[in-house]
Amino acid sequence: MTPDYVNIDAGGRHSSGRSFRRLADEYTDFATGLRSEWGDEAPLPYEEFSGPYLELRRTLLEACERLDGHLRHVGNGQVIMAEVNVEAEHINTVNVTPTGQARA
Amino acid sequence: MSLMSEPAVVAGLGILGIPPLPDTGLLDKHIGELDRAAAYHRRLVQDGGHAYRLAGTNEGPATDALHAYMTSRDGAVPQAADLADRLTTAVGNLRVSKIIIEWVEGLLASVAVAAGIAVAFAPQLLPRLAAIGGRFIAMLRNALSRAGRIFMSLFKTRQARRIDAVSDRLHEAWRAPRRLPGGGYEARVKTTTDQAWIRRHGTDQVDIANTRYKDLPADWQKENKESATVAVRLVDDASRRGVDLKGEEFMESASERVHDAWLRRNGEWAPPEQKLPYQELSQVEKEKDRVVVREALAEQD
Repeated sequence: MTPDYVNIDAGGRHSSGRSFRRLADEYTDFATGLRSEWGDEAPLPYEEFSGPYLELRRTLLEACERLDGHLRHVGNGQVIMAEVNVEAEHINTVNVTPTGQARA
Repeated sequence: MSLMSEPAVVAGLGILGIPPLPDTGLLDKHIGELDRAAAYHRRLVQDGGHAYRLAGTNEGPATDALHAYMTSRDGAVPQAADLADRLTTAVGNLRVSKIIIEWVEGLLASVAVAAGIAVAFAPQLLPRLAAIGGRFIAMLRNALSRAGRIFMSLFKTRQARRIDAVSDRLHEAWRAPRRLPGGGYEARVKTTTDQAWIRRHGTDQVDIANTRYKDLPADWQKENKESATVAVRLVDDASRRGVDLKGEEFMESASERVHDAWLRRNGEWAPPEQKLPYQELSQVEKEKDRVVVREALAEQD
């Protein structure tokens, strides 16, 4: 449910963003490796089996590319939000609690 | 050394005119590739969840929006989970296919060796042995064709598969009262405009009561699919917002949305008792919308 207050932990958000960026970097390498490793070689000489199977591999590779973009998007978003939060913390110093979390 | 390359088997298959089965070595290579990719995505689901929880103490509208995105079907972690599921199922399908090939290989080898003996002692048996071998090959091709259809079913995302499952259950619920004591269902013949279906079946007439959902033409799948899509998305959205999905409030609000969407699609021909806002419907009519929501909830996990 949507709370009626805002609780900011810019440090946590920054860490989260950095983790997602690291995951995105690793995933880019992984997906690049998959593209070069997964060729179009059919595992069996039966079209009714290998046709759908190779099509599935192409579909999965496309899904991997989309996931690569999503991971990076989340990482960048978290880092940007953390930076905005830090600016907001400076502005709202009146409401800063001893734990460093701003409550507006 | 594969059974298919044993000299006695090669000679026997040659006598029967049956080509040897392919080596399954390539299948092993593909199993390994997909297995590694599945394991990577399973780890990614865990690592992504951990990375997301690092920002877990944040609260507020921006955090809610991020949470909605992260847990939606477009979210990175659900996408990784969906990929892990699809890859794992594909690996299982490859493994089962390999087992079937090895099993048929054993059967064919026996027939081939028997053919080698029959040449010397009972040549009249050769046509029967060739027919048996042919049946084994046909069995194998049939099994591999089924495996191919399983691969095709994996083209779809998890949400699309859930929508199909809900549509299927709605169709089963619709035809259940038409079940006949001796088996089958009371016929309900309709005309379809699905050209691909017409080409496959050689007719534009379809008995929708005696046809499984997945075998229906697209135009007769459409209504169930539309309702299922609305309900599955409502359930997913409510789940993301932390709504109590078991509560009456959700059931009634979701049923109202399902009915509104149905009216937008069918308002032109709807009978007067259905052409009403949800709140003014009879309990019997409301129940038709609740069934859709209930089936979507049942498919949630």
